[in-house]
Amino acid sequence: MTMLGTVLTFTFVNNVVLGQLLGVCPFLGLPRGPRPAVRVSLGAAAAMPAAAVLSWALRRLVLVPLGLESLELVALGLVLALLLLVPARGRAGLLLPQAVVNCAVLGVALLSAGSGIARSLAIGAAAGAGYLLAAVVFAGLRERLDREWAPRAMRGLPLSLLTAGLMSLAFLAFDRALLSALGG
Amino acid sequence: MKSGEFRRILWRDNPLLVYLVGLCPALAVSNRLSNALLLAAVMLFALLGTGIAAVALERWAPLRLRLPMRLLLASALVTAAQRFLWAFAPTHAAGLGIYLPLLAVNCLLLASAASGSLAESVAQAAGRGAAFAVGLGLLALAREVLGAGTITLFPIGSFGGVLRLRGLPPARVLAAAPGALLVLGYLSALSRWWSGRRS
Repeated sequence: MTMLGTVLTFTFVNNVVLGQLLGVCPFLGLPRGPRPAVRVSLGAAAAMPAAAVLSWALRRLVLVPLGLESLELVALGLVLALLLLVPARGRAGLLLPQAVVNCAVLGVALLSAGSGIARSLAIGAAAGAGYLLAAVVFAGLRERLDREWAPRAMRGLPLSLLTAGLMSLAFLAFDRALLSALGG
Repeated sequence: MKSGEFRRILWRDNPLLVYLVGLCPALAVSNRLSNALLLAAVMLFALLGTGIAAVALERWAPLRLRLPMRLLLASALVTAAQRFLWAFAPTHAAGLGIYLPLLAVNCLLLASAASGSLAESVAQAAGRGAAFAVGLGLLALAREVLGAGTITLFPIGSFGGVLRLRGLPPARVLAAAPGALLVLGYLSALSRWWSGRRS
């Protein structure tokens, strides 16, 4: 697959949240309105390319030379645990654990396993961009839905889930056929 | 833990259906009942393991070290389960894909409070594991029956493992990614409506 194809695949076709269902927990907890949502999700989105490159380096420099590929998850867990110990103050102190213990971030690290450095970086960046895109649209939709009437049992989380489900349905329109038509 | 409390965590306070905690790898594997049950079994194993080890370790470890320690423990236990599954049930392990290792960062596994004694901790882990299995099993059953018209279990003896239901035509979208979000949305609304009506 070409680089453009990789980027389009991981941003639209296999969107982290809406296509692969990764990182749904923090996604549902996003604040209302596009601007605060972007501020909160920037950490996770930036962590995705970093995690992809990190997992490539870990695999290339440590796991493969030592023949320990089967312990990839433990090695990643060790790195994440060490990252959690990094002292951070202020906003970084709040955002760091969120970005570290995030299933979308670890998912990107695992998904990019086995690719070269350039492709890993492209996958991570595309996945991060896809996450931000989904977060902006979702937060905007939720802000509008808050003003509408809904049955009591549907308010809050159930309505968020249905909104995300319908967005995911819309993202099904981006498929491989569309990509190949675009020349990917 | 009393039986009333056990029932409460299973239904009224089900983490998956009511509070929507621990969704991360669960949603994606709820397309088939067999996948969901397998993931729930691994989850129970990891919950029990971290629960027991946490009692031993968290007595002396400072608060700051708890989350990193749990993360490391969870990833080691999940790796063990993963190696076991690849050795004895490779087709099922392949069905879970990257969602099996992702269990290591599941919120339910990492955020459980350290409770006093060993018995309490084990009971809490068992309760959470059972609640996770019930929630995920329901979600997977609804998705598979409506989306594919089948119920996939594990092959035992002459039974091939797949029940085919005749009747309504399957709505394929429910077996795809949007289906997980939509069905879980309706299930959680239903459980809220139900508990709101009773109280």
